[in-house]
Amino acid sequence: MSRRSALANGGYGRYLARRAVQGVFVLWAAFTLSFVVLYLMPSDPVSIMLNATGDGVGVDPAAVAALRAEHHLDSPLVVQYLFALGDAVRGDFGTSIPTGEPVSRLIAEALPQTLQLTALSFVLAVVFGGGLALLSTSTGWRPLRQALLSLPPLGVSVPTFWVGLILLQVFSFRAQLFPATGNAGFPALVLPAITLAVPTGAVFAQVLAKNLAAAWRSPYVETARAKGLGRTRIQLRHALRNGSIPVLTIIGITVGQMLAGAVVVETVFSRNGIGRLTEESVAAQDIPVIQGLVVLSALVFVLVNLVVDAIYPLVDPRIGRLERRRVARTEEVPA
Amino acid sequence: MTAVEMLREVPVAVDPRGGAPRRPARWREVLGAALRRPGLVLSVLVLLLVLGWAFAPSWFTSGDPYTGVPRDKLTPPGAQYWFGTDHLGRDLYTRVVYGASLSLKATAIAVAVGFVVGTLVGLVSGFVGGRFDGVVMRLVDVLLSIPGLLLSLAVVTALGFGTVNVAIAVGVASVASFARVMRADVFRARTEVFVEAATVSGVGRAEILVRHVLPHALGSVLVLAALEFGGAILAVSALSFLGFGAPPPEPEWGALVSEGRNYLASAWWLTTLPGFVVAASVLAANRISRALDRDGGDRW
Amino acid sequence: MSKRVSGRSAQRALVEISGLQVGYATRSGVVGAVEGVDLTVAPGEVVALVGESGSGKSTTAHAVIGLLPGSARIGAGSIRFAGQELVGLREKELDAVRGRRIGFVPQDPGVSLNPVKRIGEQVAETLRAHGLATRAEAAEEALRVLERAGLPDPELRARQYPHELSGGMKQRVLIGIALSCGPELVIADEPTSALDVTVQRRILDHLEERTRTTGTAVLLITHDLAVAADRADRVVVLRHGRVVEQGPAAQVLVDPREEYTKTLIAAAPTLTSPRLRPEREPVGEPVLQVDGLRKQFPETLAVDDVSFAVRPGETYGLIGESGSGKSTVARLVLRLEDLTAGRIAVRGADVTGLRGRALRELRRRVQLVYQNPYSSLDPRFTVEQAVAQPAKAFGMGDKASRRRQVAELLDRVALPADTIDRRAGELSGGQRQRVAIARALILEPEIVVLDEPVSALDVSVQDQILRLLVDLQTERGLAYLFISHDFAVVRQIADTVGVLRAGRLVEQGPAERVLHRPEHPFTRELLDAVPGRRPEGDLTADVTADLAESPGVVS
Repeated sequence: MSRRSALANGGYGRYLARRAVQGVFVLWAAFTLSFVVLYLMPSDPVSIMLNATGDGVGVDPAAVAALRAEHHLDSPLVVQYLFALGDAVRGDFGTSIPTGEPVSRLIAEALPQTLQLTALSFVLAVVFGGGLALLSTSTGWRPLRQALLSLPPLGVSVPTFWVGLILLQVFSFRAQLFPATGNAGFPALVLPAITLAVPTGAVFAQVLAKNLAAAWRSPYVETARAKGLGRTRIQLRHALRNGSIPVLTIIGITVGQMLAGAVVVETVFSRNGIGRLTEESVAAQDIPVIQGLVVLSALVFVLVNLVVDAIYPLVDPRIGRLERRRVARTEEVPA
Repeated sequence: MTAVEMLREVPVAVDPRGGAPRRPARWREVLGAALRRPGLVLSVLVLLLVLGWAFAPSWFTSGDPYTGVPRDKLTPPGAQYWFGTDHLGRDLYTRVVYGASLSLKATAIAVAVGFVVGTLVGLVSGFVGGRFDGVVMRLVDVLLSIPGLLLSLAVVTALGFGTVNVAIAVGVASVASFARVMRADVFRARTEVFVEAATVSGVGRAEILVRHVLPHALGSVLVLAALEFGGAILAVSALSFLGFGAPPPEPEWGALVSEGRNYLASAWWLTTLPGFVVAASVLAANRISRALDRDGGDRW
Repeated sequence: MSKRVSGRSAQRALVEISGLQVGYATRSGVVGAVEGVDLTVAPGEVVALVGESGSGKSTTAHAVIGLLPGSARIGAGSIRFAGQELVGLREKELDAVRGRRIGFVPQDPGVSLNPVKRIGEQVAETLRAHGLATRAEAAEEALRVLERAGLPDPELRARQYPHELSGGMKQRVLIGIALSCGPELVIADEPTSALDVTVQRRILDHLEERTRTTGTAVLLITHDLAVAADRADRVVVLRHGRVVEQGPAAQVLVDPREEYTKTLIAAAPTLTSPRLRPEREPVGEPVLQVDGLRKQFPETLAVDDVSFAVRPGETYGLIGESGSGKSTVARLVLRLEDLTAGRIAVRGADVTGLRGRALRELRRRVQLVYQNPYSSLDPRFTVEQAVAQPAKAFGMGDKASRRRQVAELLDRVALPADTIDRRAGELSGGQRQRVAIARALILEPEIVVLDEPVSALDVSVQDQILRLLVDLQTERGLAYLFISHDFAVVRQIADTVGVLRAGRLVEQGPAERVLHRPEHPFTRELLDAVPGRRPEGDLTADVTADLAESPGVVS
């Protein structure tokens, strides 16, 4: 349902409530989907799990039985699913197979590191991506504009791991400005954050530049020019606000992608965090942890989108102010 | 009045004979257009080169990707070893050339999986419409809420490691966007006035689907496929970099970069050059897809 | 109307355009849009720039205010404004002129205000940009601007956003902005072509009144000769980027010298121009009978209790403004939309509930021609495929016989024989509409629904298509349901007229009766709003007579 039609049926509060309900649905569906993929695939989860812990030869029947019982694998599928869902609602995603630790604790321990990383790269992406888009549409000097506009396509095309490794080579090994690995303090955060910000910033820049350009071609900017407003004033007061509305709509997906990008970045810089946890869990085929991580990313997506939905009507007045609009209709005079 | 409307004021040059332009003129036009877009020409050349590596690696290098000359280990790039050698003295250029077939095979499988499954889902959903469409699109929304790389990782966990499994996993992650674009196009085509005009003319549903809706809808899905090609190279190489692709001696591009990580301080070329090849291929694929998009947009 | 005194040739011109050439850079080189235009506007004078699409009228206007799109280049010529050369001025220098000394009223008010900024801010920023007010003063002054623009409750309007105002109100805001700094010239680029006729008239009245009291000169761009005749002191006719003819409005429109101007005037329908065919008393059993038609959409009642009948050989003209439900009626009659209540009968047989095969069979008897020939033909199809498609769908004849049939029809709609193998995309708008008409006729239907079939076309093309429709009707005894917003067009060909307002048929009857003795006030309002018949007078009076008599046209 579009934001507009969602809002047409009620006020701001009901609009947000509806969005929240949709968010819960997305969470449930993400859980179900990951359950289907991870547990119902033709491969036998128990043998995957045990194979990951040992070498797969001479599996202990007792271990198999214990594992089956723990995951209710002897019960019909529906029962297994309902048990898992019931646990998940209570925040229990089971235990990691190799370490035996609860999935929720593993995630909770890793999360702060990754939040720092994504928060800093988000800021970098917005500042540099937005700045690049603004600069490229503001400058009247064609070569500069062309040069600036060629950067975002480059940014989305370079592999993240490659950018990270090159930054490491240049700034850690040659210049020795930043530590190469680890979680220690702010300096260790800089290079990973820049690496993670490259693709995101490039996407922001592309979307914003495209929409700023569209705004500049629009009749309302022509009106503004006809009023005699200067370029800068039009850019900041007219084009930017309209141009950033579409950027707002992609933030949810972008933050999710940063979370996924952390898998590569944390591996390159040997940082602890959600990404590293993901990489290790996939390597160990640690199914419960993977499922917890999938649901976590869906949760982040839902939360970010709720925030976006909440501020959307404030940025775009066409969404909202329903009462006022109704008043306007009844008062409408023949022009 | 917008710029576009203003352009309508431009008198259209009409060929007095009313026929199509003559052939030679068209060829000259194409050549001229190509020269005006050097980036596009370069992109096509890069992609052709990489495809050449994939299909006939022995035309491009006489070396062996698996055995090296231990005495020449960690030689920097030069006349003999264009990309240098690794810790076993294997020629990096040869390994990159042979890696192309693995990496491109995975990319092709990934795009094919996404394209075929996604397009079918979107086509059926868009054409059937109603409740069925509602359910399918909700599912697509959920898929889109999970970041592609994470979804691929989940699928790889379930399927196990290896080039083909990685390819399938990357393809699964792109099913949702193909489905969405295809459905949107089917919907848009269905609401075109000329489609309704065909209904008024008494043309049946199936014929409308085949004659009017499909040709118009396919265009942008093909553009997306071209775009996904670049995305899939990136995703496949990322999974391979993380070590979930083909096992070690295989020269998959991502894995090559990963192997080079241990020599970051001493042998820069081991990570930089294979990574550069990946970046160049993605850049070329993206550039071509943008050109397709632009030309497609002009046609209507 | 009291036209402003013009012809003050002794007085120094406010705007003086000479030898202006503007070209657009395209892939195949520079294409000229304006090729040597000379034009003057005296202080306080209203000059109408008239032309069809592609005439360069809009480009000329945009060149004056320095708002040409990026691909446009001024090749030669000069534009002097109050003695100052504008060509070659830097953006910053132009900014001092735009808004302050030259106001601009855009074409489509619906998209010309920034959707995310309050009306008040958008008015105030003009004053602030030109240093005419501080922030606080500007907000106050903006209220006065809105009040002068004729908007009730200016405080409320200032706080509102554009989407909360109707199209006419938005255009009032834009006129208010254009005049807010007391400019010497206002450029109005088709200021009402996106609005309904009744609104159009009020807006033009308002613009005229405001500029007259302030003595502001107006450069009015329009495709509508009638509007030019009503509003301008002087008329400049453009074609293919060149001035064909210019002079006092009365002289150009009453006694045109150039052949092109004569054709334009002859082609433009007015309430007084001759009918294309005599009105006939409808006789016989109705081919199409509609009773109590009703369509409820989720939020609105689009069509409410509409009943009418169309008899063989009759043209029923259905008139309404945007949102009146006239196109919905067309879609209901064609059964493209399900009706909420009512009954539709074709030749006495109820077709209301037809489905599947039976509905398809109905298509043979009822056909449709759309408003926009650019979207109603699949651009991938050749003309042959497009026209033959209905015949093919009903399995009529083989490929060769269908091709012969298409060729005959193309000849009948006066398209050259070689059109048959071309694609719709290569044809002009008028040619495409001919193709669309041929397609509607191949099944030999009894009823053709014409949904605004000429409103997307230039007047000269419009006239040709209307004539073609009339000929085809006479020849084949077709019944037409002709849907339009334009009274002047409808009265040229309709036998019976129905006036639709907010989904209800407020009046219907023989065309001449409705025209001369409208019973419903809304019909009268619609008629009064049709341009080309000022000053208020006898409906039968010739428009040209109006002009000749109007006082003060020539000093």
